[in-house]
Amino acid sequence: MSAFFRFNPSDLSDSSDRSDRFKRQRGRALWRLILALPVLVSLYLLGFLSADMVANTGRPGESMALLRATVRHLLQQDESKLDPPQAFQSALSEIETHFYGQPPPIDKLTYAAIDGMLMALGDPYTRFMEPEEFRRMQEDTSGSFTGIGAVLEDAPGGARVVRPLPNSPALRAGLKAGDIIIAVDGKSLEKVALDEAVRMIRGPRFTRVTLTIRREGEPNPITITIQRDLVESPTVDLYLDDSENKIYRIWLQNFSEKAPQLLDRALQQVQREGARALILDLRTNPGGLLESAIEVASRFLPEDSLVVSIKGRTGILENRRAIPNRYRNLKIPIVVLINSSSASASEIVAGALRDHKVAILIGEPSYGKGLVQTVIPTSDNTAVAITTAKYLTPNGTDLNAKIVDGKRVGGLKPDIEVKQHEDWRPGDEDISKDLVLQRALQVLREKIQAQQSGSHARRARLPAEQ
Amino acid sequence: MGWRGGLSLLMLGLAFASGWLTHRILYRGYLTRGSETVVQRDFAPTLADARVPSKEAKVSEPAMTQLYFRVFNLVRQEFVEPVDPTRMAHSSLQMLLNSLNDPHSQYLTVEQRRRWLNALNGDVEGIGALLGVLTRKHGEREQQLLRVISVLPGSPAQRAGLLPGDFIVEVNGKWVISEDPFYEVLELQRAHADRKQIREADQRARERLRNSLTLSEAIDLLSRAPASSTSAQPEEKASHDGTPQKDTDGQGNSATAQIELTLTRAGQTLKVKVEPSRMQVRPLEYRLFEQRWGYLRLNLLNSAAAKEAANALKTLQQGGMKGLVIDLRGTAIGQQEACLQILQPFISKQGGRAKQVPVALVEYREGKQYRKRPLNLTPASQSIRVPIAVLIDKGTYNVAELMALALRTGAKARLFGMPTAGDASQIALYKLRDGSGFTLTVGRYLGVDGTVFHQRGIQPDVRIPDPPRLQGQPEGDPALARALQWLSQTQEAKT
Repeated sequence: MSAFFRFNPSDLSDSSDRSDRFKRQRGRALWRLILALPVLVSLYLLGFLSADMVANTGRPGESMALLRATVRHLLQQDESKLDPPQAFQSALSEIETHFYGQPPPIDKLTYAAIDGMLMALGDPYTRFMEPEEFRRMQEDTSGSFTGIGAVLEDAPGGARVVRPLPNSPALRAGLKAGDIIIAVDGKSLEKVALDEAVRMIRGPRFTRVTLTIRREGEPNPITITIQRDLVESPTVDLYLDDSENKIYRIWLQNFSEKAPQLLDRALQQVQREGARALILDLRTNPGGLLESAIEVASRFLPEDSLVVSIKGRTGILENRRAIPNRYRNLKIPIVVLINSSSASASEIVAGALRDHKVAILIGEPSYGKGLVQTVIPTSDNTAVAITTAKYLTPNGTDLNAKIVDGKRVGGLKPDIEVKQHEDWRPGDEDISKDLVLQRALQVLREKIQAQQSGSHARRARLPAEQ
Repeated sequence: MGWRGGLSLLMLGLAFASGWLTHRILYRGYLTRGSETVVQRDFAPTLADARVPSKEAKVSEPAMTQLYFRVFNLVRQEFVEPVDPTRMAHSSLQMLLNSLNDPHSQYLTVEQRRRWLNALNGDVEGIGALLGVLTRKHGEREQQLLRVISVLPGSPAQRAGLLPGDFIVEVNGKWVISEDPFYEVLELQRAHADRKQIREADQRARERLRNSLTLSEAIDLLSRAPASSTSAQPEEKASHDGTPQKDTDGQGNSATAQIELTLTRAGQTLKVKVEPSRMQVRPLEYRLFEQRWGYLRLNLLNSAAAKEAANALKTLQQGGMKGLVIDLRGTAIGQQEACLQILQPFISKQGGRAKQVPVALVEYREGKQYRKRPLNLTPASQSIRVPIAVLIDKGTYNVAELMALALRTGAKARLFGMPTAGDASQIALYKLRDGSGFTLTVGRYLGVDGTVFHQRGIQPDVRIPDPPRLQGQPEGDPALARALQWLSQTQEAKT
């Protein structure tokens, strides 16, 4: 550039000879500059990008975001729009310098602002994880809880053991059904709600918890120390709810890795015993692994049937189809039971079976969680879980419930909606209070009868045709 | 090669450096652009001194703003549906300000901010009462109660009989959510109550929640005029002297929606009906009693009031004023700047030569330290030197309290009535680019001698407990009667 400025106007007036040389020189200089331009531009960009690498922790895309934000700022014509980072920045700065009270620490303020920002999306699963929560999430990768493995219910003065789970630490330590836990680690449960008591009993694997229990026939409270361990809650239970009509019910309690195997075992038995109808009970099943859901659905759907579509911001990302060689052609009427606690993988299976007209749904509207979250670290110790995709049933129904005016709207609507008895609890031996199940049995009996009379009619007609 | 080679190397270096620099400038610019373009201190009702907002939004830890920026960009790029940045910004600031746990530091929507400004100009919508939120804690149980701070004279709220200090419990039969309704359920669970009892409590809580309004919904409902009656009716109150309630005669204004409020007052529950409207509050009223005693009622402490007050005082002085009653009962809307302007003629020069006279103090925070700064004004060349009585009550709020206190210390005024509201927060109103905004407590007022009136209120010199009628007539207004009596006594003592 300085080469250019060397020729100032006073030089020009000197002589024509000089001005000729100047023209030639200028021509060459221009030529050189044109040649040098791409080199200069690329060096300029290199400078920009390397500054970006140094400024950020090398996250690609952020420099583009910065450029876009700058361009947006320069073009800022729309006065009705706000840019969250700018608005936050300004408000935070005002709070730090002018707010009268001692403001909370800046990280707490930032987390609150981020929480608020994400709240506007109306999706409870897109959330920011503060350091403590992020750490807990990283530790607890397995997802299974550790405790003592007993089903508890509320009782005067504490918590009553309904039953210890098979092969659980509680059973091994000698806890019995009917025992009333009155203290945990010496802390009385006199004024503790059941939820809180359960939380007190649970804890990290291999740690010990001491329970004080009252047992019928024992004059004094007994103390039992139990080592906490992974508790595998049973996944599949098989019931014969109507022995006359041979209506079987498989209660699938979650979609763990083992669920498909256990389901196979139950289905084998059902087929062996000549079931006339099947109830797949997905009530209170919170979901689990997507792979297990696909496996489970594949037992009921012919090869290559669409089970679920995964839709992202830009469109369908993936179509998951029934896996070959899994289909068990049951040829009997099937009912799927759902309730408000059937979520995620349960809804995928229920939706797929319904859309392919393999089963009808009976019960209460399902929970409505059909989302895929991706956890992305945002700093050394924080992360954000973002809903990056959602599940659609084969017919394209969005499984996810939305929160509209503070109320959940969505989830799967059952074909036959039945309001459950208030006193019903999942796993109750006595099924007389289970109004949803009663309705399902009624529907299936009618189907069995219709089939019988239908097949009678066919059989009756067959000879006539011959 | 020689110098040419050097020059080209220099140019290459320059290109690289300028690329680098551009990035740094953009990036820094992005992070610090804040207050320049987004926040402008549009007007600060109680921020007096000419503190210009810093051009650069400085945040002590840029890592935190970078974190926010990163989360926002990730969500905008990755979230399963398109996002609305403006909504995200609103919700973000709302939570940010809520986390300060201060009733005066709140996010305002475009609509709310507009109403704020209108009210300051005397264009009041809704029931005409200033509402606030009172937080109460009993151990684990926290309540946030909707409270009437002040009732504007001539407002629907006043006609309905609302009083400062009333708690609004229900609006149109809907519970105003003041606490977690499931607290009772938790208590029953802890007491190992039987299932049925817990379920009933749970259902009650759900039912309560279903039929409820949040605090901000309730405030919004009460500070909005019905859509049909948006035209201002300035001379409305003249017709309302005899029959305050005309709701049964079914006039043409059937469109006006009546609101039924359930109040608690001193432990008792009562129901009242209010008809929200849009009213124009006159900044002030004045008259001269017995050709001697001036009476100045300040409904608003805004710039219009400041202008009119100067004229009113001139008129009163020309009429031969020997003493003045300043009525600040129920005065709750105002600006610090206007308040100082109105005070100006009453403050005399101290020791003759002082250019600036402090009338109050503001405590503010600087880092971790609290400092005090005087609120000064330039005294007028001829101050008003007649005895002054000031009428105050529970509805005298914030800058009006500041004014009463400044009149007592600076103009030897005597205060009659009841203790004031006791809120000395200095509140600033901010504007964001899209017209929404927020308020922030930026300081706390003190008397010029350091008197604290926050949460204590200002105690009157003469306590007169009768609820005032605010009619400005001595008969039926014991506080005014008493003030006038005192003025004539001091006058007699002088002569």
